[in-house]
Amino acid sequence: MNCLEARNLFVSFWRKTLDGPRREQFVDHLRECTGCDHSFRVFALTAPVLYAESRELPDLATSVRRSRRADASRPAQGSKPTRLRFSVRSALAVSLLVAAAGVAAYLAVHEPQTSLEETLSPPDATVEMSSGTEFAPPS
Amino acid sequence: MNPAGGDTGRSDEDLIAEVLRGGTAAFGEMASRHRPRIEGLCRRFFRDPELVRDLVQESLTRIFSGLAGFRSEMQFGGWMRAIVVNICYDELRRRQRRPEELVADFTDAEPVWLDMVTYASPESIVGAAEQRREARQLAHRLLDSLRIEDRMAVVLKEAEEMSVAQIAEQMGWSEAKVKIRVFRARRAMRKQAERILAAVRR
Repeated sequence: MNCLEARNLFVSFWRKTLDGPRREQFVDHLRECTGCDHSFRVFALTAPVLYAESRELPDLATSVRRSRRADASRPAQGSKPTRLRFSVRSALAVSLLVAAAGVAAYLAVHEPQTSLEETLSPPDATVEMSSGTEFAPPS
Repeated sequence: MNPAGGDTGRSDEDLIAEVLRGGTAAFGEMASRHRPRIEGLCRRFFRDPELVRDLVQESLTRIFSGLAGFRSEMQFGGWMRAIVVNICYDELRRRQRRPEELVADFTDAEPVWLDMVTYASPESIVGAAEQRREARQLAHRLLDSLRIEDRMAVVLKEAEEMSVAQIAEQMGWSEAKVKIRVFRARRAMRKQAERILAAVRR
C-alpha cells in the first residue's frame, strides 16, 4: 500500500468499514510510514465530529443530562461570562451618560436660532420644484 | 391518525399531504422519523446539547411552517437539510467571534485524549474516540477556531458529503469559492492540529 492509498482510507478506517486484509495493510503502512502515521493522528483530532456517523453521536437526552451535571459541578466558571456582560453594560451606560452630558453642554452654549413656534409650525404647503413648476400636495 | 408520532411506514409525500390537509398528527410521525438526522447535522456545528435541542426544535417548526411551499419534485431530505443548514449558519453568525487559539487552553480531560492521539496505536485511537466525550469536545473546539464560512464549507463537504455544486447552491456561493473555503479550512485545521500535537510532544 502506498501513501496515497493509505490516506484515502483514513475515513473508512475511522468508520470501521475496512475489511480484514485491507485493514491490516493499512495498519502495517502506518506502522512503517511516519508521515502517514502523523497525518492520521492529525486527522483523528477532527474526526470525532467530522467523520462520525450520526448514529455514533451520543444520544441527545444523555448529552443534556451530562451537560447539566457538568454545569452544576462548576459553579465558579459561570461567573466569568456574567462579569463580562456586566462590564459591557457598564461601558454602554457610561458612554450614554457622556453623550448626554455633551449634548446638554452644547445646548447650554449654543442657544437655539429658531423659536419653539417656528420649529413646531408646519412647512409651507406649496413646494417649488427645481423645474420651476409648483407642486401642491392634496389638501 | 397517529397521535403517538410512531412510524406507520407511510412515505414522506403521504405525510406531507396529510399535514397540508390539516392532519397535524402526521407531522409528529415526520418529526420522529427525521429528528435524528436533524440532530446529527446540528451536532456537527454545535457541541452544547441544550443549544442543539433548541435548534432541532426551531428546524422542525420551520419545516412545519414551510411545508406548504415544498414542491414534490424536490427531494424532501435535501429540502429539509437546506432549512437546518440555514438555521445553523445563522446561529454561527449570531455567535460570531474571532477564531480562537487552542494550544494553551485545554480542559482537564483533553490532555488525556491528546496523549492517546499522540502515542497510542491507530486502532486504540479509533476505539477510544467513540467513548470519550473530550474527543468530540476538542474536535468541536478545533472547528470553532475556523472562520464561519470555512467551517460551513468543510462540514458540509466532509461530514455531510455534499458535492461542491450542492454546497454552492445551498450557500449561494460560486463553486470556486466553495473550493477555496474547503481548502482553507483543511489547511487551518491541519495547522492547529499540528500545533496541538507538537505542544503535547514537547
